[in-house]
Amino acid sequence: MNDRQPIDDAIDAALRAQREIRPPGFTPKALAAVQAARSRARILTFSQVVLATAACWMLVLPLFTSGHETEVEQLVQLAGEYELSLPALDDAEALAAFVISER
Amino acid sequence: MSDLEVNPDDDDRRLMGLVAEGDDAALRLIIERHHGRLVGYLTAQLGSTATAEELTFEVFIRLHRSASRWRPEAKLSTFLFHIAHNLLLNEFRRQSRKRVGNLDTTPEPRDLTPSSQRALADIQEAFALAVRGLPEDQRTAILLLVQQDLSYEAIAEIMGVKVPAVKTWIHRARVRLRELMGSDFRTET
Repeated sequence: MNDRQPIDDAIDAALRAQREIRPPGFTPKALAAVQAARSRARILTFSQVVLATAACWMLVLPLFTSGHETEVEQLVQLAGEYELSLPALDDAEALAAFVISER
Repeated sequence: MSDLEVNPDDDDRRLMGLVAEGDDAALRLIIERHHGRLVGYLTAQLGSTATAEELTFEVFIRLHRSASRWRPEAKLSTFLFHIAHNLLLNEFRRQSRKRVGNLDTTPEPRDLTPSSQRALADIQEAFALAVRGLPEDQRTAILLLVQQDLSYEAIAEIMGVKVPAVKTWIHRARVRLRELMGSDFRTET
């Protein structure tokens, strides 16, 4: 494939002619875009947490008010166990071991 | 290289470590160092500096988002072009959907060129059109190799293929560009 021809030098020069284009004021605009995206992500995460918490309370409150404290206690205990197992679940091998041991 | 000179790749690694910790001054330095080549590459791909600029913003947004997961053994420039490549593929898909849905193909307005520069501008425009007329894989491979001076290995990593495929695309791109541009270059010399 190393069959270079004289025209290839002209083609390469034309390709390299616009190797870099530096639009004026690019860096501050790009930084602002990154910061805006970061703020949007934070707001999204915050609203997801708020929504999840609200949904959780909407599920649990009726159980409390209708005298199902035992079920609530079991739910909380289950959540605690799940939380304890989370660090191990981050590791794919630990997850595999966990799944196998559960069978 | 003297002790005082800093290898740009090593400095990129150091800066990325700082970006992962939320240092915007480090991010500013990375943007300053790399944006010119990204805009140049994306402009050659898309034919519009404005769209290239927007896509380059997105490259840096994604870089910032993935800073904590970045592998220091990879070159930052390779990683940036990898992000740009994925964004380009999305952009081409978006543009092709738009073309199917919208039959109005009014060309974008062009800058008026003074008559003394018209011939050169025409050649450059014809060349840019010929490059954009190449199949996407061939165009990406030849731009990354010749315009951006990247290695075959880096191009293969960016495009997610093996090195022989890259070499084949570059060979085909050269053959096609010779065919398309032969007459223009002969009239110039």
